Amino acid sequence: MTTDAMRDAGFTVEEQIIARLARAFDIEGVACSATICGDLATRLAKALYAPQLLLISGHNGFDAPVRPKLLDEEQQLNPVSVCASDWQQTFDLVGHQRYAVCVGPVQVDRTGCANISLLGTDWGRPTVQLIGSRGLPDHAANTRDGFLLHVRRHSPRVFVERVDFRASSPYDGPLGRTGVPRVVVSDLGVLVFDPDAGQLVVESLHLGVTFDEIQAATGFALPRRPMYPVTEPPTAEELEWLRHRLAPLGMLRMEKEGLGPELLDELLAAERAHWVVAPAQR
Amino acid sequence: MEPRSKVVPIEEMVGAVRSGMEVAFGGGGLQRKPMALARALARRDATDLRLVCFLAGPEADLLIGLKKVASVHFAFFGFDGLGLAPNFRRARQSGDLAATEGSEGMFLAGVEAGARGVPFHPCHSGLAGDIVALPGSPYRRFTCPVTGRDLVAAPAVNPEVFLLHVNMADRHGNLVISGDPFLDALLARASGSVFATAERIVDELPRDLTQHDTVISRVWVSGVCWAPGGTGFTGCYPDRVLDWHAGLEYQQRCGDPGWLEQYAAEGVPA
Repeated sequence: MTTDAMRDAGFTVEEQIIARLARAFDIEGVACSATICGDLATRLAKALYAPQLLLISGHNGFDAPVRPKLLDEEQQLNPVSVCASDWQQTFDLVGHQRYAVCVGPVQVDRTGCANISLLGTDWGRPTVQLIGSRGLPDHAANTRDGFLLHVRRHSPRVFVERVDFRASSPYDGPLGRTGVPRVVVSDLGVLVFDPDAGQLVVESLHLGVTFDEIQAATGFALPRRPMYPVTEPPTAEELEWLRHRLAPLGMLRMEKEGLGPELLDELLAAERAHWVVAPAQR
Repeated sequence: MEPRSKVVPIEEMVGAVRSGMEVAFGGGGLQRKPMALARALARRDATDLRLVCFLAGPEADLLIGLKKVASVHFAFFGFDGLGLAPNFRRARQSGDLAATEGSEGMFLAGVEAGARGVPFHPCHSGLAGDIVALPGSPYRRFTCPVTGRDLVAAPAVNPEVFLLHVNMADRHGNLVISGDPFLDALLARASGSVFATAERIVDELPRDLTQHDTVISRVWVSGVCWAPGGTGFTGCYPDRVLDWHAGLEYQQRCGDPGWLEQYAAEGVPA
């Protein structure tokens, strides 16, 4: 198992993914993600590397302080955010390249296109209808340095030659070259877009992962270099923040196990004991 | 002389929706969804509805499951942390539901045009990727008359009826949203008729609202109704926390038409 080396070194795959993402949120603007790993990466980035970031996670208000991630966190975060969410301002920030986002795509292809919308090629009758394109077309046409992707399970079904639907694609337009993934961090390594090769290439391999393993799990050919650096493992400081301050109550288990009734009970019981402000009802 | 009261029963609100109409819903995902209004609408005869949903969730899934919907225009359709919307997914995968997909930015641009009363609003969103090329898409690429470069035109979104739930309303129809307003304030200015259920109805709005509150003026609002808990199992910050278990139950059982009818009839608590 490729993850054994990481486990033996004292950290999890999720912690590796989050730590690597956190180092890429270096713009002066907002940072946002709808996924648990991505959201934790924005918080870790603000805590350790980019204090200028404004956090606008979901419905939790605009410009929130760094707090633990919870299931029902709007009750905790909204009152301490600077003001209410403002979607028009959000898209003004997108239009001014002041927005960094971390997305967990269902498919990513060789040329850096990403898909979260649907699987299949018949728009009138998709094989699997997912959630729609959400903000991906906005980042494709507007976002220069802040478009980050992560994949929890690197496989040929995710890393494909061509996505079924291009929710985002790299684009040379009025705002320069936009929509290029800054990094794609998976459980096996880090891929970046190489403009000369015109495709995603391996930047680094996580501890214990070989090139042959990442190639076998990728549905397109990756250019092979003689050597690859090992992805810098999470630091002791990053792990301390993640484990004790940002996700102390087990939210990362949702990423691994999916959310069933039992995990839901456990997480809610744990976090309600930690609520600072009791909600008005219940 | 006092302006007339805009307090009306919920049945009168959903009675304004007739078959084939374009209907929008407030809130986003599993937050502040007007479930009482959606359930009341689901119990009526109006069918072939054309839904307009920024971030669609159970309110739209319910109407799709009960075969009330002809088409849906959306930027996102899902149950946030709980995953996918079952009836929407089933209807799309069987080819039974016409859909128009916009991105969040494209949808917003259309609502901005609708609110301003112009035919379209330009945006960069949609220039890249496949979204504008989708069959039947109302979004159009065009050449900017000022710069000569490519842009996308988002046609005005003007729903005939907009249904939402708010934290507080006064009898004149002024509305207060205490958490994330999503696009609700803009949708109110883009829509023909606007009906809101409210956690509280007061004689006069407090004058010490905060930067966490959004106010929608009565000038845009057709009717308000007292309906505490009108968001069903979805959240309503700060009054109600999302009921995750009820959301899971809906997600697991909503494929059963009998259960869904019962849900619409409020035979299921949340």
